[in-house]
Amino acid sequence: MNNESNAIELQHVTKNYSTFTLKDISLSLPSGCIMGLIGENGAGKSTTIQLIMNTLKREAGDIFVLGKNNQSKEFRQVKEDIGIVLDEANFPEVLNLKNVNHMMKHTYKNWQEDLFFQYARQFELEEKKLFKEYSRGMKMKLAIATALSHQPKLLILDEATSGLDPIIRDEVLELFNDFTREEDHSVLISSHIISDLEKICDYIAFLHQGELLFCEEKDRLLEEYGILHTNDKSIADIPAEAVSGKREGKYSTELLVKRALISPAFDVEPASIEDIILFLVKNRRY
Amino acid sequence: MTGLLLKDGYTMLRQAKFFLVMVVILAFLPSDFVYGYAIFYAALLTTTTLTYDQRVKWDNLANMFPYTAGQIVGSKYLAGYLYVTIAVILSICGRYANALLDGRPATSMELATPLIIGCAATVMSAIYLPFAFWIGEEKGRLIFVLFTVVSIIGLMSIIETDALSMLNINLMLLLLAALGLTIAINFISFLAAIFLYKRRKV
Repeated sequence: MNNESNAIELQHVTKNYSTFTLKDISLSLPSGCIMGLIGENGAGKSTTIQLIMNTLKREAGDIFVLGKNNQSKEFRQVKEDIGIVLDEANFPEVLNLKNVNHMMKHTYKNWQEDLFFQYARQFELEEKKLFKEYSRGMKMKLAIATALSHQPKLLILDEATSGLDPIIRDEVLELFNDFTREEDHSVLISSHIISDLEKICDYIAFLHQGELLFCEEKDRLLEEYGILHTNDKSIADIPAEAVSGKREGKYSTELLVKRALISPAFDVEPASIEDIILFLVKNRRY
Repeated sequence: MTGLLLKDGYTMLRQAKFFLVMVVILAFLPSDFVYGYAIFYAALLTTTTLTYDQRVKWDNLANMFPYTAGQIVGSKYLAGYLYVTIAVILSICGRYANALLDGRPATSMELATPLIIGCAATVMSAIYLPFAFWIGEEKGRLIFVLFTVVSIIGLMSIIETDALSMLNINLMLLLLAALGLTIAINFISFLAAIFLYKRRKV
């Protein structure tokens, strides 16, 4: 059974390759929210997105998108409401903006030509320039313009901000944020640029080597964890169950700790999402 | 499917002008067999669009759009039929024009042969496409080229030696048989291509 208030729901999803397995992934993106999908190269982010869109077959589990099982016949109709940006897949190089508009007009029922060209002007994309002459950033901008121009309810973005300069990245992130002002609009965005995700995401899902280490509200994570600078003498005073990660320096040790399990006497500094992830990954390695 | 056909149309007009011009030239050359190459060449144009698609991993994106596997596969078949039809019409016009230049009317065999070759070309394409969708465009093309060469040589040899008239085959019957066989093979091929395309999902 799925919770229809979730834009995306993965229940115990598994995908096996010969050298990699996406293991028992369960996560939910509530409607109206933005979820950041973080992970190192090869963690399984793109695989997860392809499984969500049913372009890869899963070995186990269920996936629901906008309330429909993504293996049902209704899912084709659901795709009308999904705007998608992929990292390495694009329109043929010999097309231009006008050609894409013409194509998409005959692909999506709710295609908005005026809005598409409005985004094109905003992103400074030339109408007649062929895509083989576009930079990576321009190709991304085109993909984003396409994804936003057919009244989608859900945006699925795979490294959508990579290759963009900081100014445009900021504009684009603002667009994604504005997109979720409608309560039935949701965004799933995967990225290496954790600072981008930290700016706009409500939820953070962290994939590491095919496993979902956590899927939590961003604010809850920031409240839960903190960084404690300590030395060898003080470490003994810290309860082991409070420590989630450790980084040893030359003169001191940094600990990722759960604030609730630490005495207020300790001076715990705020941890960023990036800190939390780096500590957790390092902890798993050692 | 219109969106997919538009994509291939724009790709062909922009990137494959040379091929299109070649088809026109070959169709009108005053030769008894070169127009056959024009028709098979036209059938090959589908491989060109598949190459451009695979270069940008278009398939990955297309599967995220509200297209069915049938539409993605079917657009290539339809595009192929369109290219071959254009080449057949040009070849018939070419035969007609060459006959006029020779000061004689075109024979019914001269006008029917492009149709028969058109059927053969779409059969060749029907053999190629399932492989292309299954094992990739490059490997599928090798199989296609092999079949095409063998088929052109075989077919033109039969036509040139007038072997068919020796069998006293009624031309209309031959055309109908060719068309029927073409439709049947293409239908089976289309179903196979969809099946194999869906199986590509790993």
